[in-house]
Amino acid sequence: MKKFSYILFCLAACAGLSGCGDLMETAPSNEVDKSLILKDVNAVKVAMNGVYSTMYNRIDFVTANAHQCFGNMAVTLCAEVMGDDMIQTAQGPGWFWKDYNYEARVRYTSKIWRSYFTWKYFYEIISNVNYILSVEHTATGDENELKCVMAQAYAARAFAYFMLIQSFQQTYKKHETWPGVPVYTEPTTSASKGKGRGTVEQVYTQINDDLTAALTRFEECGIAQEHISNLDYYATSLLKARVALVQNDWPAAAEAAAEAMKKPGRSLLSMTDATVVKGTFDDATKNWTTGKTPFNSVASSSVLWGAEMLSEQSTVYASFFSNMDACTDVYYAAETPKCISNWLYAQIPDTDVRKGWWNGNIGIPAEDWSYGANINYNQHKFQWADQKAHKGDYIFMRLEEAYLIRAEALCRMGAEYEDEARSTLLELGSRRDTEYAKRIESLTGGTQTFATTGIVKTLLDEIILQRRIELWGEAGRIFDILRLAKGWTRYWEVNGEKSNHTNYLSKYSEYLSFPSDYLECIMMIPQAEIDNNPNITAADQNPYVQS
Amino acid sequence: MAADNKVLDEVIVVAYGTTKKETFTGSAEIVTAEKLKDRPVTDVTKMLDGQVAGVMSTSGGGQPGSGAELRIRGFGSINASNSPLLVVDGVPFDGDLNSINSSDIESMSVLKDASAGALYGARGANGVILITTKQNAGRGEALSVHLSAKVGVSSRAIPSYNTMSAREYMEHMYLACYNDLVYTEGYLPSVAAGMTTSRLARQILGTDNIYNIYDKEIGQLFDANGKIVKDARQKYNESWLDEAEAKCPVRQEYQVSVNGSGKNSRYLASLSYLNEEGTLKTTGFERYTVRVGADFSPKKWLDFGANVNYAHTDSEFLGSEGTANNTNVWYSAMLMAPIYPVYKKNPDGSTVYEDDKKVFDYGSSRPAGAQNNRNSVATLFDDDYYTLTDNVSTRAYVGFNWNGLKFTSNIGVDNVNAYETTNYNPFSGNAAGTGRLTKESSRMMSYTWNQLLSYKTQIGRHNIDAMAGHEFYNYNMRYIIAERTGFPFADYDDLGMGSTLAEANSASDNYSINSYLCRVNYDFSDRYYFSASFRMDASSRFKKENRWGAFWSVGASWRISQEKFLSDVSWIDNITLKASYGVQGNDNLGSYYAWQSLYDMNYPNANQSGAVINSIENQDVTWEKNGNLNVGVEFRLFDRLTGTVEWYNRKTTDLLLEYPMAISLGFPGYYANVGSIVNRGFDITLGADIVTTRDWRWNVTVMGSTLKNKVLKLTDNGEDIVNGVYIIREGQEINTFYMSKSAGVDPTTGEQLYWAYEKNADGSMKPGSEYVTNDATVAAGCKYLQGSRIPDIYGSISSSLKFRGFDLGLLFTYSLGGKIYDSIYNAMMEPSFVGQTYHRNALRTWTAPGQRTDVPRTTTTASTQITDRYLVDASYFAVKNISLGYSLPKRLLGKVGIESLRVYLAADSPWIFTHLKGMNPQASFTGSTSYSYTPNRTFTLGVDLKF
Repeated sequence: MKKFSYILFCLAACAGLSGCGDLMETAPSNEVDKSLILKDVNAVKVAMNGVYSTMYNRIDFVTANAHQCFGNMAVTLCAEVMGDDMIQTAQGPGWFWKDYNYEARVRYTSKIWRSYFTWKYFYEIISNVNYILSVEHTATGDENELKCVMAQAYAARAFAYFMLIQSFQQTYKKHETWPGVPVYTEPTTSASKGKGRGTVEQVYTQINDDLTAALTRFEECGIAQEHISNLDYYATSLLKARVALVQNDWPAAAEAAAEAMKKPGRSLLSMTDATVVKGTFDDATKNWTTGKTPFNSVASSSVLWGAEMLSEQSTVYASFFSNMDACTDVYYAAETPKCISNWLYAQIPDTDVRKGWWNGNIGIPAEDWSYGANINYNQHKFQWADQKAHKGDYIFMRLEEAYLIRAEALCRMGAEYEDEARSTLLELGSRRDTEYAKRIESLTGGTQTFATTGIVKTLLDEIILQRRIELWGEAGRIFDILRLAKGWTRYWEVNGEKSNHTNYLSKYSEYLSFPSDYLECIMMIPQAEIDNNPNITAADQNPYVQS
Repeated sequence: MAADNKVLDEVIVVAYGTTKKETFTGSAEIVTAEKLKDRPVTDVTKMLDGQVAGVMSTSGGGQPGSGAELRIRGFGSINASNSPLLVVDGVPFDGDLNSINSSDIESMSVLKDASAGALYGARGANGVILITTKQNAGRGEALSVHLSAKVGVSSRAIPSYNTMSAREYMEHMYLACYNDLVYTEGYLPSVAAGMTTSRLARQILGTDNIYNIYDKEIGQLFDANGKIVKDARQKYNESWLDEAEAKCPVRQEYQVSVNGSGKNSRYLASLSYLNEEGTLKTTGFERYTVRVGADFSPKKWLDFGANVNYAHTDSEFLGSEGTANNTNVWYSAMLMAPIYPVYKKNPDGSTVYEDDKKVFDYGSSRPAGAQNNRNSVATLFDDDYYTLTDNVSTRAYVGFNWNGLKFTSNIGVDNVNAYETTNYNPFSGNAAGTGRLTKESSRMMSYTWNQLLSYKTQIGRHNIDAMAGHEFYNYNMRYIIAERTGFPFADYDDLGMGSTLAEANSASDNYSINSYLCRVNYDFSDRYYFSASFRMDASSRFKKENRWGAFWSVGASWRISQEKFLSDVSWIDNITLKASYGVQGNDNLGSYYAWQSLYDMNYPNANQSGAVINSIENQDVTWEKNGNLNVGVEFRLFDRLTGTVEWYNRKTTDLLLEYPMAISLGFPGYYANVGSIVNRGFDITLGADIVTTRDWRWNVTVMGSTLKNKVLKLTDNGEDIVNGVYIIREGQEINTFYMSKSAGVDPTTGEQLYWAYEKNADGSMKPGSEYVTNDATVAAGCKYLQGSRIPDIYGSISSSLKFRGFDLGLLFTYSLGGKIYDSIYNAMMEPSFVGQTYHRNALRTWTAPGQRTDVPRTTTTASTQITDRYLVDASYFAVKNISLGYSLPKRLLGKVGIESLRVYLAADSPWIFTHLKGMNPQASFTGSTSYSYTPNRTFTLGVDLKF
């Protein structure tokens, strides 16, 4: 019995020890607690980098169709194909096809299509940024560094709301009182409730407040951009210029653009730098080569804001270059090359280096094409930097846009600013076209005389045309169409050729010219938001049918 | 009356011990090896369908080695797990279920109520399944050897959907293109008619119309009515599914086991080999198992034993199974329009051969829905997916006895090492151009160690049995993944061949439960039984302050047949009344760290660390509690009729809910304990020994279960949780279908019509405001509650017939009521992409004004709101198993030293009858369907030999 008791005691003692207090405190190995991240400035920077990473490296917002949902570039490309200047040749793998044909919006009840992605994507950025901003006054560390991160956070929030409001509602002007998108400025907690749509005006107020907050902090902290992916004073200024342009606040746009143009160490792409060497594609063997372009490297001289793509961070197929560069035997673009409108291409004089950014009419219309890059008007502006390693940087903002915005804003401010507008435009134009000075010397006037196609009659016409050519594939053409409020068309004839659009949308009686408030290019609020937001009901949904 | 008949001797394994069925206060059913032995089952979860009342099972997929999902008495959770706890030889099991050789199983007990399961406390809320492996039952010094072999062939258990033939497809697409032109693009019918063939060719026939399957030029193919001209001949006829499916996949299983005993020892060893080819080409599962067990009683006061199972498995599986990804042939091959050939064709329609092999057509000009630039059948061969797994599962104990006092310590360790490879070839498919190889390796180890002190005594007619102890559980998982791209050659299997690193990552998880438990059983005079249990658990899933939970049960049973007033009723063999109530817990949320607000560090920005927030903090989150009431009666009458009738009421409170949030808040939701849900119903099992003569024995057992599920409370303000076509709403069944309601097809326009209504301020329907609309957005805002998957009654009928040496076993399962939203059927009626096939029901499409039909006008971009059109009656009747055996006469065998020899033929899942051909009614518990590996039917020939 003694022996037994002894053994028993020993085992009981072991049992007591095996309570193992330490083993009860568990934490994941690749995640860290919020309190750690929001503690000091270095950790907050990690959170801000997460936001930047989200903009190009996260494709988990939808459970399927992620290959057309790859951050900023997907949003931009979607906005491009919804317009008039970019042609999607074929259904191909299907990506962006429903955007091109305005068929994405009917799928708003689904969690795998465009509305859901765009909505969720920007709101996740906003929620991350709101956490960062919540420690503006509590995080420890160098005051200026903290200020610099906070400035970036404000700017990122302004960017997200700006993209949201442009995607989910008609443009600002004349729609100020229309429903906007929910605005959140506090970090989400378990007590948070979804907010109502508010008005367009309220959203723009928030955007401008954030921009001001960002710019002031950038100025105060005096810290230069650490990495090209970071928003800084100049990129934020350009963002402000974009916003002001949409709000038709010309002096603000001109001024903000001028600020962006001041970025030290940056310069407009020279004629040499802007020269694109086309890649090649052999129809018989499917062999390809990649050419050379400045638009796949953040090292290009005019980049203000972009994403540096390391090979292991590339989203490979689910990426911008996969959908753009048709000199390939595998990537998506080969099945559906993105082409420039033949009308727009015809406006580029032979003396313009940009003539080489696209195929001209090489005698292969869509009907005769089956695969690869050899099709009329195919683009070569965007090519992989290294296709084998699926590398290519994303450019979110370039200096050229600042010049174009400034020129446009000045031109609209009145005749007394026209000379400055012209000289601003010439800065860019002379770096593209050897004959550019001649082209614009006699142009005057601040009215837009045509929407998609027409004859350049005024200086403003020319500025907008230059914008369409220079920023093709980068600006999100439908956003411009919306703000310019002249409507658009996909149907024309130029030099005896019919429009090379594969879908004229002839199904609509007004296809010759869509009205400026054409609702098919405005996304529907995703049904999942309506299902879970007590302050947004089906009655708050965007109209479904054009009235 | 005879007090101790054979049924009374039925010993069932329950929590921390065994008991006799008739005296047990709780609800537990046992499934013995006898009922399982002929089944060609690789994963034990697939054996339970139809075996125990109150257990609902999915079919599980056909991937060899895959398992089924089980639910015991309904659905108690919304976001936490609803799966029962699996316990193997007394200790919760974390290994792979397919590592257990089903021939090693002695029995499976299903614990359904609190009295049976509360001792599993924190993890017992969804019921418990106890798997007991064969014990070392030696008979004297003799060794007993058991050999068995099963060889079978598999095919699909559920036929494929009725999809269109090539002719039907071409004509249907013609109509769709015509409708596009007329109704969408506004051409005059006369103009449109002239444009339709060229539109059709452009949409689906590829460059130079190479996919024109007919021997006529496209211009001459259609008559004026859009029908294919009579003299057009189809040049080939190939089915993608047929080409993907294996012709005669073989399943083989062999086992040898030996057991015996010495004076103070008993031991067992078994070896088995399984090789199962999948019904899909290139898939399969191979397994070796070794089990060794020994028990020793060296001293009167000392017991010691250990049991070790080792299993090595090699699973060749299908990538992306279940998803809408081209790699998944259950999606891509099934939805492939019938005009596209799998193999390259010459212009005359004959197949192109190279080196005597058919050449795959990677179709560079097929449309998006028809695997443009891919060939998923070829991908089966070109890609490679496999998992190698080693499972070691150890159970050991030491026990000390002294005058009814017993101290036992058990330790159970499960170890799983898995190595998975995903290899995408560099020529076509997911990684065309570069190739992509992913290696994942994981190492799981969990252990449970307990120390139990028990005491048993008898004082007169009072029997007392008490137990108390401590238990600690720890789970640790480590995982590493690496991926490279840039492979210059095919057939690579190691990363060094690739040029570019695409991913390198690792992760680990930890989880612990610390517990104290006790139990008292008391009975008086073999008539009255009481039991009570109590367990305290601390789970690492919750914050320190909210970590401990208390779980308990009380139960009583009364063997009324033992009372004097019934003792002279000769036809009553036994009647037991019983009741129990208790509270069990559930901590099994998706996350081990649900209360914490965490940043995911996997988002570097170039070379700088980056993190993204991915959860919201809720420090208060804690156990979900499940109050479980069970009352029942068990009987045996006339020495022939047995039965169990039980009524249960399971109420979950403090429901662990992922409290949904507006997407605009940036999170899907956060975990909180809100709401309650109730499951109640009857479980009835009736058995009859219809014939019991010397030569003939015939037993029939019928099982039926009902389930009423109701969400009692959700959030404080009672908001609905809407997720796709489902709603979780107070007062309704969990996962009730919530979708638009079809009002048929407008006979004048062919448009889909919907029911709609005006709403009150709270969103509910204004009475009498219903109207019909063709506006899909309006319909999206006017959804209706349309029932759920939960059946009215489900169960099984089984029969066991024995005549001399022959035995015939039959098992039928049935389920009546409930609905399924068949998204596959939906996809076949309204394909998302051009190039996908149609269901033949789409032939009922509207074609001309005045036509009354239920299928709207077709277009190539058809997309209507999801309506009850796609809700299908879930009722089914399945022949689950038929087995016919013959045991050779013992007197014959005795002469050659054989104890028994039985040969048998078995058909597993031979037939199923459903409301829609092709639909799997047991695909899921929520009534969804997915593009998953179709379940198997297997015909097996088996031999069992003992000597």
